[in-house]
Amino acid sequence: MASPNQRSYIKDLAVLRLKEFKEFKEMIYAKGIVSEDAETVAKAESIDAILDATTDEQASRMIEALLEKQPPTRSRTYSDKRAKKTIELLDKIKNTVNDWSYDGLQ
Amino acid sequence: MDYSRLGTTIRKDLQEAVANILNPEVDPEIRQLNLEILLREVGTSVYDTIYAMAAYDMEIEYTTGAGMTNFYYELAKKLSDSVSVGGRSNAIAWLDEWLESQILKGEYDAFWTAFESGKHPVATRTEPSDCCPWCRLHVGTFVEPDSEVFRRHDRCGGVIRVSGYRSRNGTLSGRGWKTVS
Repeated sequence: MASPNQRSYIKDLAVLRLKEFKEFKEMIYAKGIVSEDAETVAKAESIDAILDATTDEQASRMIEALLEKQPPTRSRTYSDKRAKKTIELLDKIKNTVNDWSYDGLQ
Repeated sequence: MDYSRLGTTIRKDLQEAVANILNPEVDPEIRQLNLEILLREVGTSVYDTIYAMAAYDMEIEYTTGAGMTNFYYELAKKLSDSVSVGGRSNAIAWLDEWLESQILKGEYDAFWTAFESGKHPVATRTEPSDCCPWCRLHVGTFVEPDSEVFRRHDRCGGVIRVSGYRSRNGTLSGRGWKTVS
């Protein structure tokens, strides 16, 4: 079973080296760390679910595979459209909270 | 008073705003930073409003609360990381829990301030039918309850709601309070 240190390191590396979770599955299939018909991996919705069924040797190979990967190029800013939409949602939330009243609570 | 039902009015918008920030193309640190800002803004707004509402109910409307919980740093990191490590369905549950915790903290902070100010707040404790015998013994409505009333088992899932003089007399409606700044 993967050790707590391995789990923590794998998760930290995954955040740094992978954009999305599905890339983790693709990586461990491609490296032959798990077989392609491994049901646990296919159904897993998080790295935790995969690591729960991982041996320490498999965990070591996952770490090696992650270290081999180059960090992806990522933006440090959001698009104007996305930023504007988020600000609109925040304003909407604040306005809704500002309209809270006792009516219907008692 | 069950203030938690107010949280449902912003739940969807909050989830949408978080989903907007969780863009895989953006650096995890930037995502986390933006989530921290969003959660702090929403949390402060929710906490201050709930505290003001509960304080008015308990006739201590001239007071201010200690402020929202600091759990949002950890939550922002967990949400940001969920893009790469999965667990998005857990992320929604974490967000709901966090929102509920801001509401509860606003209620409880007002309760304790009222209690210490010599007011007469009331706590009503309910438990699900499958709770343990010890929690069942603590079910009821308590005027000026001591801390024993608030001891509970997480696994039993009991809910404790607090109220003040005004709500017990049915004199609360609309927006009676003003936020103290």
